[in-house]
Amino acid sequence: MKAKKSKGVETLRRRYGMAFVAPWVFGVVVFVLVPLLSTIWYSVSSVKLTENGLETTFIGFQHYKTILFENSYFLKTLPGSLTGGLTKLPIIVALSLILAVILNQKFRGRTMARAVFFLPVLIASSVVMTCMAYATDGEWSPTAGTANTYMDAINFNAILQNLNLPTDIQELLTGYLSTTFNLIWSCGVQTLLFVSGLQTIPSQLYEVSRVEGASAWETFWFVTVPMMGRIIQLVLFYTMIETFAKNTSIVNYALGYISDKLVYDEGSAMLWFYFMVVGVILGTVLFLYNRLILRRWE
Amino acid sequence: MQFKRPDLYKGADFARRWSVSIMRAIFLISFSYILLYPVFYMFSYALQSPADMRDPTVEWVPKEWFFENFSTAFGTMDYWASLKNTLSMEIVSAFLQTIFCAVYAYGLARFEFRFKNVLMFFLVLTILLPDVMLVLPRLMNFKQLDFLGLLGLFNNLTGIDLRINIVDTPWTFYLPSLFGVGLQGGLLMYIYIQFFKGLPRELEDAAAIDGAGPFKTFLRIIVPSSGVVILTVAVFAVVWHWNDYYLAMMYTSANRPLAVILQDFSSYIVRYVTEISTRDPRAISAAMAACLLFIAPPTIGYIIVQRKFIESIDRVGIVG
Repeated sequence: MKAKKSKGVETLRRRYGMAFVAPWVFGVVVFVLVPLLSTIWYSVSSVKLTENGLETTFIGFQHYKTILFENSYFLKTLPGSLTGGLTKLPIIVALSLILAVILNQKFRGRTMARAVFFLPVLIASSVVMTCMAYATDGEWSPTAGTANTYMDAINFNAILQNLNLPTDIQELLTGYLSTTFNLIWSCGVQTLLFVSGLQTIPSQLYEVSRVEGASAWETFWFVTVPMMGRIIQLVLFYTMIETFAKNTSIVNYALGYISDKLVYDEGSAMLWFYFMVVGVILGTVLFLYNRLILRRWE
Repeated sequence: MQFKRPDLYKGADFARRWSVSIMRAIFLISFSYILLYPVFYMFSYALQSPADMRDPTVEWVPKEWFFENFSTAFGTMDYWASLKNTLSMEIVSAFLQTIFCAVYAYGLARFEFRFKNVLMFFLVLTILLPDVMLVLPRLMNFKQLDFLGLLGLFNNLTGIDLRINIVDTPWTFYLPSLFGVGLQGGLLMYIYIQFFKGLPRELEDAAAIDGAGPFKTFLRIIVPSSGVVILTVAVFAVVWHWNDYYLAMMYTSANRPLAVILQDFSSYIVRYVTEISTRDPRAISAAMAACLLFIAPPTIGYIIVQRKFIESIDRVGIVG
């Protein structure tokens, strides 16, 4: 009797869950799935633009063969697009968490600071960048830009030379610092996500750790970071999407096939192949994070 | 009850606080320089007269304040009309997504049902795939709005064509947003899901025991205790829609929003100021002024709402 009742409750909850997501499923089927299937279809057929629209004939995996064995640009850019994103990932997560913790503190000028660190959310990878590139004749961009002039301004290289470090280490340091500085442009959304995440930590936890006499460092590692587990996961996910799927040279190259050359078949094949690889990496990183780290914190 | 340190530590405490403040200031100012550089650049060039632009001694500070660039930018962009287009198409659909994505995300975050993993897979897929890939088939659908070919079938059977053309109407933006599959809809849902999963379940259980159904629980318990999340998602939705030019360019032919015009500013200004060419210093100054006019409204909006990110700290009320 009791078992039957609880089963009824579960069925009810299942139905309610479905009711919540039903409109979205409808939207996905109509506005995403149908276009999606047609791009898969394009990738295995030969597409011709005619007056009546697109004319397709099935040719099998011809395009995939072409991009894998004949298109040298695609194969050459593929590893770079993937490893570049993976090395940036830990720096971006750490930097944006530190920034969020700082912006969450109380200090004079915090409103100004928050407005400044909102700028990358607003203008990185937006049309403003196109305008800046046009005005500076392509000299300035968020990834290659101001860090070097800044380090010149504070005489960073001179300071390093005075320390009598070997040139290799000097170059390593300047290179590392300028990358970190330029990466700030990729941290906007992540920082804002962390700032919001910090608000959801109950203040009682901080009170307890203060009463117990924990130092700020210990509080950060044993309260803030574990409580941010899900948000760190979200930030990892977002950062990977941003570095792999948006604005990488390989995606722009494939999208160029579609939007400029109007070669739908080969362009779609490239994108599908690339996103399958990205999907595997994304899944692996999130799986490892969930298994090795998140499970221990929760 | 406040925990109070003994007076013995007062000196050390003072030194520690100051060193923290100074470190923080150095850190923030260094990064602010990198971030503010383009804004300084915009202000400097937007305020320079053509003579200043040609003068090599003028690098950052113009010799005279020259506001004509702003009025040129204003006219070229047709600012008020374009702003109205941005607000009526993009920003309305940003708010629609903020509301409806929350409902769908709650369903995915809190309930277990069959094929949920398949749905999560499709959610990630909608986030991963670029709009450029999907826009052409979608546009063909919008020209003869149909749902899975059902209306087409209806047309074949009865001869009554119910398929309407919604291209060039705001519905090309509203309709996908209502179903949570508009611009960046998947990502907004993903943000909601991660935050909803972190909410304490006890509140919902208590509501269920008191006899509230899931929809009532959502409206009365979840929505009031997720102020920060809703605000965050709203900020992202508004900014991403504000910046969207690709979809707007594909879906509209007249009545263009601000972002599309800014993207194509150099060609617009040639049309607006007849004797100007694209690399004319006046065109560059006007473009910088246009950028400032473009980023001003969302920046001001953010400065107003950012206070709320702190005020709602203790809204999530559960102890222990």
